[in-house]
Amino acid sequence: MEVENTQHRLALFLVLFVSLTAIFSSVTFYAMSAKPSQSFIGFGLYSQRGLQGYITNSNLTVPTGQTQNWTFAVTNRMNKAEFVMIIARIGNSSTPTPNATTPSTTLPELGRTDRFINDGETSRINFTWTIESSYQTGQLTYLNITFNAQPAVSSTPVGTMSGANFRLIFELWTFDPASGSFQYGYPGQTSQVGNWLQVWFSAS
Amino acid sequence: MRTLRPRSLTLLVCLFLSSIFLITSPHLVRAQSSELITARQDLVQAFQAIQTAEQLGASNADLLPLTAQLNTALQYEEAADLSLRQGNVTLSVQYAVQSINISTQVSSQAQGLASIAQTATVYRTALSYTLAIVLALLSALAILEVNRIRQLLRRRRLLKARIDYGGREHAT
Repeated sequence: MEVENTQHRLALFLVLFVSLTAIFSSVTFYAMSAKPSQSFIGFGLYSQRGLQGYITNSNLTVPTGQTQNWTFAVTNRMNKAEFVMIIARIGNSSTPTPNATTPSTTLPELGRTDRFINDGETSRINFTWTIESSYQTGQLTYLNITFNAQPAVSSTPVGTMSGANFRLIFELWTFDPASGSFQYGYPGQTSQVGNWLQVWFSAS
Repeated sequence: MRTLRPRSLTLLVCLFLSSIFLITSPHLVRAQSSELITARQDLVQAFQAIQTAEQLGASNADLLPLTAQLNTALQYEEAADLSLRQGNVTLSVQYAVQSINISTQVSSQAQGLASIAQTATVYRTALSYTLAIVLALLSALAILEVNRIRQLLRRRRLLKARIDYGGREHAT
């Protein structure tokens, strides 16, 4: 009788122990797992003097020879360190712009800058650009622009009437270790997510 | 003809000397740009080492100084590239070597952090699951022996209670 009782109690203990182990292990697993989150890279642009060229027909007029000091603000929320590159291009009102999937590789590239950014960090990347000179071919005005004191690049074939309605386009690229090269945008859940900015200006 | 010989000899010597320079200088430039390529490769390797350390559980606070150092190495690499474009090969090599040194340092530090983080993660995981099993064991025992525990507590309460001797007076 006592033996039966002991065996009964042992069986009950094992059932309880296994069940509770499963419950407590599940709670531990949940507590130790990384919480799901939306990964992204925030990309902004500012100037101490204020930027006015976010929309077309704006009042941002850039004199020839005057150096513009602007700053990129890049926030990394990708849950890992990122190697980002920003490519500056020039366009006008009729040139194609980048979108969520495709960069504007047909537009002239003025220059590029890159930076390593830790997860959770906002990096401020200063850069300068200057309209060195402008010239006219036919009815269109073209510019020679330096980016970060690199050799001047002509805006050809991008030109505008009277030097108005140019736009600087900034594309964000991130390094992909698998391919060993930079890819446009940052890696999303299913594909790359394009990230770009533009500032309209008129050359004077 | 006699006057031409020394001139032609001089001309030949000059051509020979200039051809030596023409042959060697591209090799020199190629050797220097290979160091620039190495600097770029080392930057990428150091970056990947940092990402690996992150995946293995290294904290942001530990990795932040490494990222800052890597940005310094990147600046040296860009300076080396610019110097090479401007034709200053010696300066380009100096900058490239500085970049390589920093990147190598960052790689080894990141690998060290990765190793420590991996050990800490394994230890933390083992401890957490062990605690979960111990808690399950204690909970199972508590549930099984709940009646005995109640009886034990009742007995302790009785033992602690004061004995009232007033009943004897009534009896007598």
